[in-house]
Amino acid sequence: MTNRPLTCEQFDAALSDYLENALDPAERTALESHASTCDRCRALLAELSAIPTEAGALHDLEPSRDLWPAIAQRIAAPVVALPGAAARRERRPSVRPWYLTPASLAAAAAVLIAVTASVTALAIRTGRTSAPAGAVAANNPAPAAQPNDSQIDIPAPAPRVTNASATRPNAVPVQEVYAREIAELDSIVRDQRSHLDTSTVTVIEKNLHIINQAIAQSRAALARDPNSGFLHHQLNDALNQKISLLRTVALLPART
Amino acid sequence: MLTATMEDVVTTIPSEEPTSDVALAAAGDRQAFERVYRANVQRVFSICVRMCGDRGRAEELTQDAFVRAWEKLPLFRGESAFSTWLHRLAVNVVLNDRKVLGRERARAANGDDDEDGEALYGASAPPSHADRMDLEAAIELLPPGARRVFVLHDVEGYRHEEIAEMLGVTSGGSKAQLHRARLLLREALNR
Repeated sequence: MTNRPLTCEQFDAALSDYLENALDPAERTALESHASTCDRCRALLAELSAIPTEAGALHDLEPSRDLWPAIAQRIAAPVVALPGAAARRERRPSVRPWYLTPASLAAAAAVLIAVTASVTALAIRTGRTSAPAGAVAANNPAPAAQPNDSQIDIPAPAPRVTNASATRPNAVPVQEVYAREIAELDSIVRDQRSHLDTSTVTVIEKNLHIINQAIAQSRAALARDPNSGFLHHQLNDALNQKISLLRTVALLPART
Repeated sequence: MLTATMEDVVTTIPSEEPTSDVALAAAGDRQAFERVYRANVQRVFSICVRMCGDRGRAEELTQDAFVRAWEKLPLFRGESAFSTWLHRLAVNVVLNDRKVLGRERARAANGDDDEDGEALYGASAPPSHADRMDLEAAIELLPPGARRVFVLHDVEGYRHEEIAEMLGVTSGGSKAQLHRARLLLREALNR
């Protein structure tokens, strides 16, 4: 910037730096000099300068409702610890409920892992090349030592279900494996439900209803056409979706 | 680590709640934590609503911030005022939420959500502000990027270097957004 009078365009270009106190004294003087002779730029400078002052004096706002009850419920309800968080967290005294202790959280995670691991094991005993997709993640041995125990696995697409297991004397039918896992997860979800926000429960129930309808329709169609590979695949997909949803819900922190 | 760095540089704000309540809450006393909540909820809500521009979402974020504060309290070392620590935590909660929503909106809009800023105070301005919009209402209608920088700088008192670090932008970018926000606010307030 020179000693020549500023144009309005030059004033505009320098105004931001002026307000940030980023101009040198000569530049500041030139800008102020222009403002003193130009109504438009003087008003602009005055109004922009006033905004930070007004903003700093804004009053605090109040929520439309008391937020504490929901917070109280959330901090009293079990939360699945994130990987690594437990190690950083300082030990809290026994004021917290028993189900918030690392041991109980680990036990809950172990239950989930055991369920999926058992599904894998059962499916492997059937001689199939693939297990129900909800158990795919458990194919990796020693999951309890993994840092991602609390993460939710996204099941892979389900394999086609065949009738091969029915011909093996010791085989466990895949549908039975599914049923067992769903029953286990259902039990966990029933306990979890009361800790969840009602809107979350509504969404879960709506999705479960849709999936259950798909399962029922697939089974009804299979009853009419038991050898249809497509229908077996559809049923398998729906069951996998149900397992995935239940596992997700089982691991949900409360009041989300 | 970002949090530690920023907590070190934030200007200390006098804490309103007794230190003992913070200490008790950090030890797991929920009644003490409720007192901490009562003493700070309006400040935290104000940050949330001004940052996100949506009162309903701000109430949810305020709850998230206090739940997170409860979880993190054992890590509060008292090196800054508790209110400073809590406010910064609330800002992080809003910014993390924005990242999620921002990605979705960016995909939906297939562009920068700030680009519509110049049209913000056009014919679409709410009728309730037809006479003369107050600053609070005008802030709420700012484009998200400009609003965040304005609230952090002019309302909350953060410096551009801090804001740049928080938002993942340059200091110059923060300055540009602030100037743009002030110009838009001036335009709105003069309507």
